Amino acid sequence: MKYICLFILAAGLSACAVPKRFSTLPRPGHPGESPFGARIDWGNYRYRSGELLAVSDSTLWVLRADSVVQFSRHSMPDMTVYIMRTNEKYKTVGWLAAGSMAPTLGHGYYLLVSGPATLLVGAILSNQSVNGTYSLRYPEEVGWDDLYRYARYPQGFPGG
Amino acid sequence: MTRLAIFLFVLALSACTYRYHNALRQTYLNANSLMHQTGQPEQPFLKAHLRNGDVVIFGNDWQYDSSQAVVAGAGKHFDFNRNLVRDGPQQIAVGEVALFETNAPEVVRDRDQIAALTVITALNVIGAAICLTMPKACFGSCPTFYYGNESHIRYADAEGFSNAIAPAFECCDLDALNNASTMAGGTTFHLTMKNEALETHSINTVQLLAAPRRPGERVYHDRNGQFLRCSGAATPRRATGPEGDILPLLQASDAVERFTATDSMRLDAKEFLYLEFDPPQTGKQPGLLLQFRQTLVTTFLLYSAYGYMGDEVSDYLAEMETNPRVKAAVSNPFDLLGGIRVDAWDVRRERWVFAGELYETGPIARNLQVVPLPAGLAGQMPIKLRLQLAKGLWRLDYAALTGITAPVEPQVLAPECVEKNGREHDAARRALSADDNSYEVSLPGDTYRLTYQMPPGAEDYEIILASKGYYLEWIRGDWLLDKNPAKLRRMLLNDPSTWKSLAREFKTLEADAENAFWNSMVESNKTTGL
Repeated sequence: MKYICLFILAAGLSACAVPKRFSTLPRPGHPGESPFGARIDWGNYRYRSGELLAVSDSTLWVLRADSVVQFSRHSMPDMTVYIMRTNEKYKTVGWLAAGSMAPTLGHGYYLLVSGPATLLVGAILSNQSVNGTYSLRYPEEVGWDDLYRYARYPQGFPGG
Repeated sequence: MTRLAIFLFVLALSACTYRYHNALRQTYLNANSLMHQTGQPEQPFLKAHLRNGDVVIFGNDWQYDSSQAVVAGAGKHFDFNRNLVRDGPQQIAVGEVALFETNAPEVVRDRDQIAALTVITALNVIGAAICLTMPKACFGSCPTFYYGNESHIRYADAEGFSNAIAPAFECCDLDALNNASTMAGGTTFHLTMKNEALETHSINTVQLLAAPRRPGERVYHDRNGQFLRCSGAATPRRATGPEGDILPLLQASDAVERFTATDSMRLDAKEFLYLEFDPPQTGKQPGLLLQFRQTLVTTFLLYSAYGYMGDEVSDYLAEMETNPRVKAAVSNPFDLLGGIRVDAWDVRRERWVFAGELYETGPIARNLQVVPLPAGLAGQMPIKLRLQLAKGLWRLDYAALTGITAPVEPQVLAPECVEKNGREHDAARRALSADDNSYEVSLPGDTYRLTYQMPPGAEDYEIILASKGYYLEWIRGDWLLDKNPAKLRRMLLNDPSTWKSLAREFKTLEADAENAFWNSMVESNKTTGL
């Protein structure tokens, strides 16, 4: 019982943290709140991801953890532009997912089925809430000429 | 299962990306275009991107003063590196602004997840409420065994040592697996053993008793552990109970069972069933073959007793180990309820004579046992039998008259290989092979697959499971609320008024308890060897 309660607590707490790579994105009800640019991924996001800094007619700049990467228009790979999160009450969803486990402790023998099932569904929904994003695919859904809207410096690099 | 879970997670990850409406974010090169193109001076979520790279984010009370060419309002000013410079009233000259940006809010998706989780939570609360109002209906029972492809508890082929609720009650339990021909399985026989309850199982041995059989022959065991070679099985030509004709319920091993509700005043109130058979072939001793299991009465009583022990369960269990009187008292309720007594009608003496008794604890797996009948009955026409049993305690699935040809001594088989939770586990194999001081301890969710080597010398074997051990129930928190040592004492001493109150309590749970336990099950379509 002690371990189940600890697990529920851990599950709830883990759902309360937005992943770092989406932490600068605005919430859907507060779209202008972030001073940062959109998050973009190209290829495998674990290795190719960063904040969209600026876009000129021929160059796109991306801020990664410790460096600025630039792409020419002609060599730009396909990418996903993450513009804002889909959820605002992800903490509520996380705690609700964790809380939904609690009644299963009273299920007796059926806990063996209802516990994992609730955990799985709760984890999926909590994950959706925390990781859910509004995005656009380049070049299918957003062209080069519109990418600047989602940059930190839509006016172009200052002094650049 | 693991792959399914990973698939669902991947699906969930891919499903949580929504397409953004490109038109929801707009930019304007100057204040005039901002004011004219939006046509909405109070456009919320205004961001002013300055020429030096700073950005000012205004709240929804910003205003444009065309006379001074400034935008003013409460907001936040961030520098080039997006460090917060100032939070509060802001005033920006439009000449410093390189670009204005407006944003419209998107759909907030919280409602989807919250609605789904609310439904799940509500279902779980309802489930918990059912179990909390009927805590004694939510349980499993002892190690469950499966020899075929089925592994759902509804189709368990056996449940081991159900009444061994403490080390002092450790016992060997025989269960006929009622197996089809072993010829199809080659030289090996596989058995699955599970812990499907909130219990700790200490298992001493899991052996198979294999008795050779020829086509048309079966080997059954009686309550005394005697193995009898039998041939033929004739269903009754007439079967009646207090409710009338029960013959259709007893003609096949099909999980369509005959049972009744308990008496509302006395759980030990008895009822009689009457069976009539044509005699078996000449020269054979008749034997009554009965397939049966218990209802939830004994489990209710056991869990009630645990409840009355409250937080002193371990003290009572220790008493059972060390005090023979306490140990004997635990058996009192079982003696009061009794087994299935079989009487035969003696034509010459014109009265019912005791023929034998069947008993096996447990509400899950159906037991198949034989009661040898007096040899003199073979000449009677018809053979009349009377079953005496506590009302509402037993479920009968199948009854037949078989001919006993000879006693037989089966071979004892120990497992050749044991897998625990998918991995070969030699220590478990050693522990389960012999009746000694080594035990295999299983916890809820543990699954074992045991492989036995069939002996040479016969093409087909009747397989009887011999399991020995004991189990410890996990005490649920809500049981502690029922602590009542005085009632426990009266219950174990078979006090009539206490048993009357138990009967009334069970009566209030009886119908729903059965539903709660079995509702998740599906009907059996499994064919047996009968």
